[in-house]
Amino acid sequence: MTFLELSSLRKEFGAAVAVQDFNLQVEKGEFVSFLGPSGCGKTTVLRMIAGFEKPTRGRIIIDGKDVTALNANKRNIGMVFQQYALFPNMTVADNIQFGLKVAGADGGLRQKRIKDMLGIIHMEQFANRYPHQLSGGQQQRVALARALAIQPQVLLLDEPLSALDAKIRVNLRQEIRSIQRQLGITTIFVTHDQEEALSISDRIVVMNQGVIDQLGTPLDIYNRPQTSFVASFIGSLNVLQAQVVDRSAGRIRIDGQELTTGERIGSEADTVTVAIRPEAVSLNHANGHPNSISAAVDDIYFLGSVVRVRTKLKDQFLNVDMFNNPSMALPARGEQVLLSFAASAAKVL
Amino acid sequence: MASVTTTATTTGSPTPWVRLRSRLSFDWVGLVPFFAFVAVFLIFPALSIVVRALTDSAGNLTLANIAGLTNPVITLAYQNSLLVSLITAVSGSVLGGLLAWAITLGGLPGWIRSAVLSFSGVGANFAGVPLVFAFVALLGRIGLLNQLLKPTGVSIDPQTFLYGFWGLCIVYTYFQVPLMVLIMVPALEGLRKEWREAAENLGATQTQYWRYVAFPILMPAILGSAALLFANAFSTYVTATALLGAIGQTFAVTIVVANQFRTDTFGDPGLGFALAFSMMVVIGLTIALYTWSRRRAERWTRKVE
Repeated sequence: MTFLELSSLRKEFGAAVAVQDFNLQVEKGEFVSFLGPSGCGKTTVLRMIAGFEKPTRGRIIIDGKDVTALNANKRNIGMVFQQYALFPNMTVADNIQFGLKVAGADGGLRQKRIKDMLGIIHMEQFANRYPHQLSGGQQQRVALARALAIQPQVLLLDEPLSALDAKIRVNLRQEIRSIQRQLGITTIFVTHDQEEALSISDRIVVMNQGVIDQLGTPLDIYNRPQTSFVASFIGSLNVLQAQVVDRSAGRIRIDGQELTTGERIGSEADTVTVAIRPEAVSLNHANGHPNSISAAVDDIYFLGSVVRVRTKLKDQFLNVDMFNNPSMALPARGEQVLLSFAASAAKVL
Repeated sequence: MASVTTTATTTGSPTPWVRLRSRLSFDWVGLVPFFAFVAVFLIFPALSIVVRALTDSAGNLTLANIAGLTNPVITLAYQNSLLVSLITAVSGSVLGGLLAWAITLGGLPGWIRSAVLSFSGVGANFAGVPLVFAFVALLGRIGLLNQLLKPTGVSIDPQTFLYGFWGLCIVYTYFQVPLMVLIMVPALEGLRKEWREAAENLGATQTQYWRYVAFPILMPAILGSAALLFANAFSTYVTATALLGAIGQTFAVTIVVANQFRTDTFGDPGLGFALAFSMMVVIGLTIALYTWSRRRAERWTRKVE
């Protein structure tokens, strides 16, 4: 059952169209991420849901009720901002109870909610601290507690992790997901970080230039990109130019070497763009492989858990990612290697 | 080995001269002109005032000068000065605060903001004889207003509202308002949009946002501005003298102080020093009150004790 519905949303700022024809249905308790580059319109959609921007056209329906014309303070939506936005003149406890206080809730309920929220974010001992006495990660946890304290119907997270250190970011995103699951709250998460979106979302909306490019589960988005933008935006990708050799057999030629792709391709002699994930390519396959090409090692990059080998075909480069294994034998620079991959791994865009 | 031991001993206990040199870095030289200026033109005159307020012309200790402050003429001058300062501090704070709010958060066109800020820069420093002349030219007996009203037969007598207590309040407000604007605009611009949106998102009305969030955050700036406006009005001399002229020779404390040093016949320098000392006390109390209230208002900026 759809809990949050965005129907034909459009937003114009003067002559510029920020969002157009945006349609989305979100289930109750679902965690949906809006992912895209800066300026793609993801924050604008979030702000329209929150009530900070009025849609030029379209409707926003929450739990069957049209809230498009409602003021932000009447929507019962919790929001966590990028730069924390805690009230600096209030303690952690006062920040958390602010929404209940302005709603006229009695002191007993407020104290109980403060206690519950501090427990959820594991910050019971920080109740009387002021925001400037907290670290960035702690402030963002308090901001989350403040947003949840009013028991909102929908939780909006506007790049809440982007101002934090890498390690804290990973911990906090897991914590956010855990709390969201615990409370079963419908959540929209805006980010430009694909790893964040892929790791915590039920579904991802990939946006580009104000429209939805693809909507799907993280696995769908990563493994079955439907547009060249999604393919290039999500994960690392080798994008190669190839010529069609045999349309019916799916044979293509890349820098003079023939390969097979599982995709439908154009007419013979056409030039097509082929995308291959670096991790889908294996280096010097032990038992030989029917779909292989040879290349020279151009450089090797150590990326922690992954080792990236950059190879050169004739004119084009192709990266190969391998899990870092202490016993692995890395090729030398300039060495000729054999690159193999499944036909289905070569996507024609 | 021996050389190592010697070196260790030297670095372990530097001589007093080395310690002094390490403390007196060249950076301190930059402060010398400032401290010299403050010593010569603030600390020395202030100490001189205190000493001479408590001594007679022969240099003997006396409280007679201080006792002279209870003179009804002086207490009335004090009452006038304090009231004018208080009223114009409040009127300047309210009107200037509203103006600053209008040009920063009021959503007005950008050119209005630029125009108001440019005017404020000039207006805050436009005092003394030129300011009084401008008001007299506008509101005086043969001023522009009366010229405009002449065909209607209506005439406004400036004696009733310009050359007196309320006239002084109106004229002072002219430079108090732009001063408040100059101080409050940066403070208002420091209010983050996210605070308002967060409050709104949590269900707060505009009134609740201003009551619980914006005003408490702005309070230190408001208190500081009000204290500055009060001190500004309390210490104003030329504007009061120029506006009130001969009829105001005992109206304000600053005028009374000046009169004690201006004439050899009627002046009483001892009383003048006592008045100056009492003004220092008033300004000191204002600063103390401001500091106390500001510390209360911004306790959320301090670290945990």
